[in-house]
Amino acid sequence: MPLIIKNLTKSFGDKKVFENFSYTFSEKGLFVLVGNSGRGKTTLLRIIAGLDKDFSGEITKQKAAYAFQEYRLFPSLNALENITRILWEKPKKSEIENAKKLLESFNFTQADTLLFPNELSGGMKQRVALCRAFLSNQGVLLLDEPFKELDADLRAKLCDLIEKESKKRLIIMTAHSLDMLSNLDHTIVSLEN
Amino acid sequence: MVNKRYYPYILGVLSLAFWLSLWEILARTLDLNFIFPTVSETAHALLSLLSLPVFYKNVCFSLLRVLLGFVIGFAFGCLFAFLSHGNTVCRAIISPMMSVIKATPVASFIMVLWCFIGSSPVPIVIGALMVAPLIYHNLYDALNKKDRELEEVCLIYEVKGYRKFRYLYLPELLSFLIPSTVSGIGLCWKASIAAEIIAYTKNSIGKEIYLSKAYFEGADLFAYTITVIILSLVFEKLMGKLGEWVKKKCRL
Repeated sequence: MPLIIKNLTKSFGDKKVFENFSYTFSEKGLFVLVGNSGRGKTTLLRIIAGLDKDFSGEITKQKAAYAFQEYRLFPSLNALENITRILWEKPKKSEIENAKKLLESFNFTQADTLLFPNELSGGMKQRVALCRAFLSNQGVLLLDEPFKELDADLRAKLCDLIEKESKKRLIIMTAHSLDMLSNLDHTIVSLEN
Repeated sequence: MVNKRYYPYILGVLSLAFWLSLWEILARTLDLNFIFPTVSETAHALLSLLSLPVFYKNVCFSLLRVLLGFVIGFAFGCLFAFLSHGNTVCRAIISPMMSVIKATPVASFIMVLWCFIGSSPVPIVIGALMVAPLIYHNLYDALNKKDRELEEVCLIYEVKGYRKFRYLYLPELLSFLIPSTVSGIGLCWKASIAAEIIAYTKNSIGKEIYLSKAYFEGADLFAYTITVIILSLVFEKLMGKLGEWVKKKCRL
């Protein structure tokens, strides 16, 4: 089912961020929201995720996974549990293995997967948050600045994963730079006008 | 050269020696041993008490009252905090009551309760009345201090019920509850013993303190007071350890 936004109007106080904005995202594929700071990239992701309901207009309701810019990990759970315990009520062995494998593919050692958020670097936290979003089975995947804290090697790995996932479901992401997306099949959604 | 890790212990011993010396000097200068005994007189009185079965009986009964008061106060504090958090009408009723209890002098409560329920249960009720507002206010604050960012994660990934409580609320609640539990047990000791003294409760440390004062047995009074201080410190430490254990168990 495509994700349709019709006549979206959203303002913060006197400042209008969206005025009668309409767009249709296809069922699958990668869409990149571009625009300067304050153009409403994160706001649009929050509206799609159902976290911001203070707007006028119409939007088709869909379950979405969200990798936030601020990572948002639970302090009492380790890296692996921040994925498995949050995504599944009773995680199966295979699900735990999948989570471990994905973390390891993002340069986590076995020991790293057992570290708690206060023991992880910013980049590691971001990778955990991204793995959590990718492993959820929601139809829409929202990624807010996913390349922010990653080095070149990890960016390439993330690009591979995005490419693979975008063939199965809809991915909407925000990015300041489009350099790393040059090899990916993507649609740019400009929020400048 | 002394190992650096022994410094805190050495400092502790030196500090204790300093205060005991000051006490000894003051007591000898005042020379009023029926009101202000020396360290050695107090130690002697404490050793004599330790050889009496009645001393242990009094300690056990006082201990039981303090613990009962603490448990009741803790349970009601938690219950009222959850009720206030969940319902504004409950909050409107409970919150002023808790503030009044917190501000009312302990002695006033003791006198009123003594008339209604007799001397024996007074220390238990007083202990509960001291602990309940402390737990109530801290828990209520913790319940209202929501982590909005993690709430949103719960919403996105449909983390509900027990999982939401365990991963989102429990760490926050425990970080508020554990310190107030430790100070609550100390407060409960103080208030319950004061209630035992004023209400002249049977089989209690408080009654012995009252009698020591009435018969000018300063050394006994100090010995019983030291017993209360030691018991209070031991229970504060135990509560602290229990809190650490719970934190470890919940991996906070």
